[in-house]
Amino acid sequence: MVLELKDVSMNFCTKEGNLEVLDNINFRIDEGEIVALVGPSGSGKTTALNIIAGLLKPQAGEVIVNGDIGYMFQRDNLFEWRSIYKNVILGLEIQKKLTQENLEKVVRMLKIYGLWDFRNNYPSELSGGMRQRVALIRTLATSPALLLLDEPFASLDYQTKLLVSVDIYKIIKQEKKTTIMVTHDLSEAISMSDRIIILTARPAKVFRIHEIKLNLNEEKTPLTARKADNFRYYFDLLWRELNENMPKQKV
Amino acid sequence: MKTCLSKKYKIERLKLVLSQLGIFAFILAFWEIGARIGLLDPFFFSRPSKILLLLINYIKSNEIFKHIYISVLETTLGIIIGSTVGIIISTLLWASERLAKLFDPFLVILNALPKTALAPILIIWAGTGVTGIVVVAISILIIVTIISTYNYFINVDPEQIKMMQSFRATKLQTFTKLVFPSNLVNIIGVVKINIGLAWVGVIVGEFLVSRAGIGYLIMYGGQIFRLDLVMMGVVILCFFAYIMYEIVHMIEKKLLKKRGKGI
Repeated sequence: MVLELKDVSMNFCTKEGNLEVLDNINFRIDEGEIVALVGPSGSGKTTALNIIAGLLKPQAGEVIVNGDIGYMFQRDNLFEWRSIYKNVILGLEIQKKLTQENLEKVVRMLKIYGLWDFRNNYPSELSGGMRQRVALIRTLATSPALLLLDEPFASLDYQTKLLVSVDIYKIIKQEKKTTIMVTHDLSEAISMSDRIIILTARPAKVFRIHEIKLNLNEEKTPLTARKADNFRYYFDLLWRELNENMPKQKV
Repeated sequence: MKTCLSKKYKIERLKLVLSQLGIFAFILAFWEIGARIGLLDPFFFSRPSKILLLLINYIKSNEIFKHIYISVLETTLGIIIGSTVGIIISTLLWASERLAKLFDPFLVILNALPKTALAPILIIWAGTGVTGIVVVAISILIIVTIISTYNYFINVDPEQIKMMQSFRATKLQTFTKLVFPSNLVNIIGVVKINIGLAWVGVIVGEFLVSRAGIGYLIMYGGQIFRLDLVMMGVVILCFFAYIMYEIVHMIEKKLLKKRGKGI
């Protein structure tokens, strides 16, 4: 078990009053799993990630994380004034973990994932897909036990998004990282994750948890996953459940 | 293709510089001829050749260097001390939101106040020498420095701050690794503006009390109706303000070159 949320509740005090965001959230994630957190927009998915990351303290309940977390955002947040290499070692630098071993690990990842030749370049000289890979390596450099992805492909165009999601998926699998990702893209969730947690509209509760078992004859990647004959089945199922949980629209 | 473009660029640039020099020469010629044929009263306007002659005399007698030295020293001290202290204060305000909220109304009032109004008191407090004038220069630029750099600091992308926090960065690390470097260009911009403000402070200070400096020359020239002296002071002022700007600009280029093209 890498992560467990026990009865986690969260509300924010705003000018309009008390805003309940999370209501008794319970789930756990085991080692090596990729879990997607899906829910209607504004349902508090990002709040949940922030709580797991320790950036927010929940009002009630308990979050147990066995190990460090690594947080990857919608945008790559690379520092334009640092070279690619300097960007990648940012986390190690902050945590004062610039050891021989860790630096060798960074070098290995840069080499495997095709960024070694660009180590002395600056972020503005790289494509969107490459920048996202750099951001992932920066996150993985500190060896987190749990990886948090907050809509990591949302800012990319459709074609790049698919290619980058394949890249990122392969890296996560190869590095055997336990991952929890927030997304509003159902195809992305089905094609990448082992389990999908559906949240209700705010205040968010866990509505249902689905095990994703795609019928595949080849190695699973976000691209091949879309060819599985039961991909549609999951899509329809999730679509229906998500719509049931849409917030009531004011007409 | 590349050389062709740069050649075209060079020609464009040459044209621009030549036109600028042309405008400058036209103004000088109009002034000189106008004063000679009586279109402009030479008593009120002096004329370029007379100003140049006076400058040469001042240089020959070595007297000018004393004035330049004093004013440049005062301005430089004003810029360096004012900018540094200002940036340190805005860093503290960035680090503590409570502190920023506490001092907000005071900063607003001080910013709105014409600082030159305080100059006489400041000089009484700090003394009539170089110290007093440097204090006046600092008083003029420090509030603007604090307010603008503080605004730059708090406007750093919140997602990048969050990224730093996700690595468990301390406040100091967030500042030194993200907030300050991401605003380096902005801070240099503030220092560039401070050059002009420091000169305002120094000239005002020298108008009030001084026995040397470019402001003193201008004041003295005005009192004895020697307009050529006043104009000479202004020309020297322009020259040194420009030199200072270029120095800061060179430092900027050097800093940005060190961090590569990534800015």
